[in-house]
Amino acid sequence: MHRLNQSSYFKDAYFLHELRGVKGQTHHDTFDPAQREAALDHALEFLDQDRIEVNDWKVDVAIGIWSPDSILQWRTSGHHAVLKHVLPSLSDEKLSALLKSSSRTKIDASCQLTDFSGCRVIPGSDGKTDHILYVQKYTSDKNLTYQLHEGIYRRRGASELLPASIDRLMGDLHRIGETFIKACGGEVDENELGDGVESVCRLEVRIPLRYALSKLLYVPQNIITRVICKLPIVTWW
Amino acid sequence: MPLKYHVDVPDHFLVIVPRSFKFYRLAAIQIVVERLSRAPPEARIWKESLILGAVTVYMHNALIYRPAEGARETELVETACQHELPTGEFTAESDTDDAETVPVISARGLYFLSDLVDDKSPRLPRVRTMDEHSLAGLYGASCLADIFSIFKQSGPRGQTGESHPGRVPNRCRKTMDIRYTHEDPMVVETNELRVDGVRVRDRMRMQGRDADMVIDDYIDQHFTSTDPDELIATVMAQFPVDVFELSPNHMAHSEGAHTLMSARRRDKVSMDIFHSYDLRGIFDKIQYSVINEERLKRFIFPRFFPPKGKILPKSLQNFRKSTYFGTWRDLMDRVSNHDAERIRDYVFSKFRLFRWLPYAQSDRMWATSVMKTKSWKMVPSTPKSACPQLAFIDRYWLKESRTLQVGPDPAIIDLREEEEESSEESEDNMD
Repeated sequence: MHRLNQSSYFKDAYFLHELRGVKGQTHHDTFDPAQREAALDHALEFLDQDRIEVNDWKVDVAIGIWSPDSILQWRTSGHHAVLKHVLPSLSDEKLSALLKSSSRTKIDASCQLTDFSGCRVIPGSDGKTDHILYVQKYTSDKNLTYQLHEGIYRRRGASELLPASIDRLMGDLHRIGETFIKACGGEVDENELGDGVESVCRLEVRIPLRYALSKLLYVPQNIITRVICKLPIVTWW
Repeated sequence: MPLKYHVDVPDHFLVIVPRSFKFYRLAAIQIVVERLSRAPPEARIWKESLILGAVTVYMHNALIYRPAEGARETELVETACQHELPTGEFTAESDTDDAETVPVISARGLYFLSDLVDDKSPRLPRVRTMDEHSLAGLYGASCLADIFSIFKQSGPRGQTGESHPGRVPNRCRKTMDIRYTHEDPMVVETNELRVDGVRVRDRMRMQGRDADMVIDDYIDQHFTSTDPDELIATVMAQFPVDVFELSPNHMAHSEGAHTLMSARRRDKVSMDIFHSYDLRGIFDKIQYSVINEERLKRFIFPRFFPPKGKILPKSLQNFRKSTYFGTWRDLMDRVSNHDAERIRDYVFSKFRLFRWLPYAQSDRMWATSVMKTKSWKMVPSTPKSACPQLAFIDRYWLKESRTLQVGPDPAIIDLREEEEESSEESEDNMD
């Protein structure tokens, strides 16, 4: 690293580590402290704990809200209540201003349905008192179609409508349609009956590591019931 | 690492939506794409159809991802969605036709498109339009002309395509349409093509109530003719006028054009001009190469009269500006492949009678740089400086007795002396 800094081109270079394939490896009972501890140790095995400078670290903490055989969606009208819980020090006026600020808040409508949406909020100085750096609300809808490589579910450009690619586009749309039928639990052909795909609501906050054990340890049930909408799987996909 | 909570979400939050929301929405998108794929290219290039296509792709993406937020997408969505008159005070006098309407995007919840027209190509109603560069950008092109050429269409008449209206050198006007300068109506001498069974379709136009209400600025009434002989007569009369109107200039603006012709004479010029070796009054200096008919047919002719569906090079100069070229491209779009070749054969039969013509390059009608190869000769031979490149056709060049003459037209010199007092006209001549 020292030698990289000497080159003007590579100055301030850093390494980015991305861990893959760890999903589901730390399954545990959330109400058993010993299991929680063990799962965390397992997940952080790769770190040399003694060399961690707590003040330099930030951590994303997320909570997933799930209901069996259901599609859960964040209600657009509930953003305020969730932010109020995450940023308790802010007045209602400040929260409204934060939600309306186009530079700090992005509202992500779900399938262009304006009543259902996630959001991404960078509170900036408004988050200082509560030590919140970033808040994101989203659903796991995308898991169904998520691919690491550019597959048929990629974002498309209008140029695919041009004569050279429109036939392929139609084929892809057909396959996406089959995925939706399967996600509904429907039958694509005789051999294949799809499993209904549930959708989970997630709330994620980024905070400095040293506050991780003192802040936002739970989300009260009454907030959850107010800000989430539940739909049958067959309605959604 | 997200923790999974099992929470009881009460059922009374259930909303009534029909079954398989995403699937049916995708199916609707698929129907639009399928219709677009079957639509004739001539209708696919309508802006209203291109906008519908782009918004369909946008909706498809929004079904899977969060909606795109770029400036172009925002413009697209605002163009395509329902608009309403701004709420506020409207007095009886206020003209609601001219009032700025406001897009209704978020207030309506699920975003629908309304009033789609199932025309030759499915399209949005002709209500609003969006910036051409943004629209082309959504299709990954820099201008609509690029998209037209992908569909092998010359695009709506009267558009030069490339130019940026704000940039002065780009503000390229079209050459003067001879219908404005010729007092007499066009004489159509032959009905050869019609008798031969050449059929010219009407230019495909949008149909429907919305299209009838909008005055169509693309369609020039005069060119709704479907008589191939009349259209070709128009092209052939316009051709020499355009060739000289686009004649090249010297590098320095003060030195003027390479041609000597006055604007008045230029407007009267006919095909006969290419049948003479007396170039006095046209050029004072030229360079030429003698070519055979094979070369004329394979290289020079297609540059002036490209075949149907030819994709024009992006850097093309001169031709795009000429009125004859626009009429020609339009005609090619409106006839079958077979008839297009029949018409080109007919035009070539006139073309091959020329003694000379500008040695057109693939990207420009006139070239002037000094050619150093042996096959090129300059008249007069010194000094060696830039001058128009002409091609002479060997069939006549070798057989006919000829006197190649360049320089000022003696008749015009006399005329000028006589008309000394009316200075206005001599200024015209200087043009």
